Amino acid sequence: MSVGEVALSIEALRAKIRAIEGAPVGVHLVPSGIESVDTLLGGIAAPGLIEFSGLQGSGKSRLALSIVAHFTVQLGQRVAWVDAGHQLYPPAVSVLGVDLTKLIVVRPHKNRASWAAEQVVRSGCFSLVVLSGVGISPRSGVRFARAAERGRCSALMLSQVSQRGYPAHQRVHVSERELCLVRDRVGHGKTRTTLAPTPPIGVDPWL
Amino acid sequence: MSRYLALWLPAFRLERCGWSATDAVVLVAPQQNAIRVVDMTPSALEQGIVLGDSIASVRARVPDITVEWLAEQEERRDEVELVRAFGAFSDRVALFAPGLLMFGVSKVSHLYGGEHALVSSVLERASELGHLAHAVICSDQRAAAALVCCRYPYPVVRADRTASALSNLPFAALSPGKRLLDSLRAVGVSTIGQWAALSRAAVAERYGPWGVSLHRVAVGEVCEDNVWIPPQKDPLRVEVCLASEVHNVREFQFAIQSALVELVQRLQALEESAVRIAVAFRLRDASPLVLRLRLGRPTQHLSTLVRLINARLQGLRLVAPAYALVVEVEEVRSGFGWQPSWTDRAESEELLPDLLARLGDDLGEGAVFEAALCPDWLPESAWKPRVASAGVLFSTSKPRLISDPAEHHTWREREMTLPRPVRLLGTPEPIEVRTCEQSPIAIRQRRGWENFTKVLGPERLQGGWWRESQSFLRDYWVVRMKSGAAWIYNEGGAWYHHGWFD
Repeated sequence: MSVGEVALSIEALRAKIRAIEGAPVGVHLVPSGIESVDTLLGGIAAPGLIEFSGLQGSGKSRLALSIVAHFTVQLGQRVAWVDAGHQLYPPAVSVLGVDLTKLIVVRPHKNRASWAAEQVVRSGCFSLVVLSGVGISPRSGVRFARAAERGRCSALMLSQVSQRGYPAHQRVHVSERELCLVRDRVGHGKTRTTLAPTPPIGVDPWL
Repeated sequence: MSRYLALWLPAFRLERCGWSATDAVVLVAPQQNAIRVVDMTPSALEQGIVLGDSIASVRARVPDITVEWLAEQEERRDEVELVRAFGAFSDRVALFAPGLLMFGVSKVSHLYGGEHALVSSVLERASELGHLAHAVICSDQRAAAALVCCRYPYPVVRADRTASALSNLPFAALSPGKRLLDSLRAVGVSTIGQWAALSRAAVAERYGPWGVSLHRVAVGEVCEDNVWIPPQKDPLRVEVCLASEVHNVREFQFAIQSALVELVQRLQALEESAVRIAVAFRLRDASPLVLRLRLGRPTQHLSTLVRLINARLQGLRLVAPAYALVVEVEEVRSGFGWQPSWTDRAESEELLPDLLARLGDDLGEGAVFEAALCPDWLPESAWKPRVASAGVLFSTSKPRLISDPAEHHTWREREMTLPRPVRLLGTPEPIEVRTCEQSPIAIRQRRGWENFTKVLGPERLQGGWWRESQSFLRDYWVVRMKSGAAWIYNEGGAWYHHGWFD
């Protein structure tokens, strides 16, 4: 190794140390890549538990996938999707712009869904974990919130009905083409915004 | 009936260093804050040197003694070579103890003209290799080991003569462990015959299953509990027997660590790294409890193995008291494997490959995967899961699912006529649909007919005609209704619901 190469390696090592030491503590907001979401929320909480609720067909899964696409493509980070319903369709995921090589899908049995989701969230291996079809009770919601803080990741939970019994950093209600921030930890609530018809990352235009 | 040949090379550890059995040499290693004797040639033994003596006391008694330092890694390599050197005699050869080989010879002795001729052939081979050797054939491995280490004069012991052959030997020849040995010495039991004379019930009550297994050997019973040779020929298996039973997995932590230290040394000698490990607890009056774990990355790093195994054992309950532990490396990969860097711990609590391996072990092989697209028009076959293993995660090249680059380019460039649903049902559900001019207009739900508010299509997907019974021809539609947007298709006049847009 030449002197120049050694110097470059040392500098790269210093940069790594700075990145680890300089990692922000506490909850901060990370841009989601979706303008309307960032306008409404300021970004998604990291680390933290975020709830996207909405009826079937409201578009919450596609919205979540758009955020996943931003994380995997723009930010180059690994994301996990816990698919308790065993229905996630990768060709559609790919069309929405997600880099499939950075997406790990976990399909647990119904009775192991909560355990598997908690393991993935607390592992610290992913910057974003989406929980789809994982039933969360108030008690397990507290555990998930702690697991997200321990694993330093954003756990994005998709549900049909908003569960009020556990501490989520952000709660968003998705309907037709509208997002509604129900409440966040700072106390803001009942703010609405409209989903832009053509979000920056490809979403099927018809819907 | 199984028959075993025990081959003892009393001076192997020094002969492999170039010494002969007639030289007065001691093998030393650091132990208990001093340099102590761990082995010696027969000639050194005759001069009154005892195992465990410090080198200072040895030199005081025998000033011109020759000292050889133990080199563990090289010794492991030579042990592996020794096993290979005798591999021609049987497909079941294993290192039973340092300098002691055990052969399974039930099915091979006739090839040599009988057991006596087999013993002669094995001793001849040992002599060719430059080793002083003794050999005994018996129906039990532990009995064979005890007989050969005590230089039993007869090379072949019949199954019904095992007990009488063992009777005059010291009880220590069965390697019972210091605690049991001291306990029996205190009550005046010093030979195997005296031990065999005790009642089985008293032995079971006082000394547990370990004592019972030794008692069976002493009375000449043959039982499968005493099988030590692993099915494979590699020495990557360590068994630890406890002097007393334990009821809690946590009490095995020290034993697990000791076993892993031994296994890691053997892996290093073989220049291999572990991929899959099995940990088995032998339980009293119950089937063994076996835990198998895959490693996210092949490794021979001791701390990583200890951490992973302890993490898997958390919460594990023993249904009965355990008296022994077996740790075996079931699958290896050549090379030194993964070594942690200083940043790994800082970046995440658990490394990704370890997490994926752990989830795969618990949820099933296909439950954790990375999706890869396939060039197939049948929607169910348009993708396939790739199990997220270490190889997948760390391969630098992307998988080539399509061999023709031009076809790949065309496939990706072609726009799909209709969008694809985010959720695809595992099995298409039959539905009832009303049509008008061949377009769907309503669907029958539980509460009655529901009209579609928006309909897009059709998109015809057809293919598979070149494969027998796999051809398909479907007309897909995207329909919107109150309950959401769905993907439905018509095939052969029947309608099916295939996915949801959400």
